[in-house]
Amino acid sequence: MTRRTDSRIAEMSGATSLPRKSGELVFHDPWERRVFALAVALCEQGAYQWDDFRDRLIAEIAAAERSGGTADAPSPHPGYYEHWLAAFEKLLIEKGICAPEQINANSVEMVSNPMKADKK
Amino acid sequence: MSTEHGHSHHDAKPDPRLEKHSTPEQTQALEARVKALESLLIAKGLVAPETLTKLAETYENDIGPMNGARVVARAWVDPAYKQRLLTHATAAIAELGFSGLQGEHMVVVENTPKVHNMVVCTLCSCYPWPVLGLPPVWYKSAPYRSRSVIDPRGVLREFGLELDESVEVRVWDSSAELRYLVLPERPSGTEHLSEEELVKLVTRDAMIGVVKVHA
Repeated sequence: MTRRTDSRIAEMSGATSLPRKSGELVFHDPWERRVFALAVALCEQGAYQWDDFRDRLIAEIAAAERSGGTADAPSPHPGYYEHWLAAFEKLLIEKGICAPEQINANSVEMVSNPMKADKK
Repeated sequence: MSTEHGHSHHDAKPDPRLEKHSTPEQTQALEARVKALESLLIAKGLVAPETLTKLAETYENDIGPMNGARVVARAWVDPAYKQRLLTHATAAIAELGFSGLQGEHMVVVENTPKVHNMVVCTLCSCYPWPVLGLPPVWYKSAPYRSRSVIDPRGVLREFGLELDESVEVRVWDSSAELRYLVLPERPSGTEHLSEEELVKLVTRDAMIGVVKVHA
């Protein structure tokens, strides 16, 4: 058991940096932990380079910041791992790992636009 | 939010991403969506369920006291490494692949039969998290922060560590710029142990300097 963490993942900086509290990763719900592990696992298996994923994550966060207003509503914009999930799904499709129809067509929309998701 | 002291960047800035924002319905939908994705990738043979659990655990725990324990064990078995660690701690720790500090420097202080070091942050809770993970609750408590300086021996006694009067106690106050790690004494009777076995003996509290390492 000498598995080590990948510093390219553990130490991403800026907006993509993993949310931490006193240094430890913070996952609010089990799905966040799972989707974190999924993206890391597929990278470790060589399905893509970490930078491929990181670039998409940056794009997701940037897109949300452009469209998102100021935070006066209780749930102003999607959380970090929602961006992570959207970036991961898009990457799977772009890399041909999953067919678009295999991934819930709604889901990409749902993440970038949680208000719509509410009415689903 | 009022600052509890004059140092503006002692603690990390509060990160808005740490607040949960999704409603129970959204959480449920996301839960289902990730589950579906996971099942799909497992069915494709791209990941194994055990791998996912282990990976998440690694990232949650490994960025923690285990890193510090590896640093200590390496110093115990490799005198040249120990020398580098005591002179240029930040670089020596990075040699093992542990970094992630945001501009803070690490200083490693060595316990010997004559000197016992302990670490505190009197102002708040500065802590070398890349090597020690989450600070324990007591580390952040007001009594530990104040009493470590006034009565270190008394505090150590409460941790069950009775030091001889002849042992000098040095208390190191962490700051935004400097984070301390105690290099505990290697316990006697561990000469036969491998580095990997030594790692398991090193505890978080020993690296803060409130206990010794026991074989």
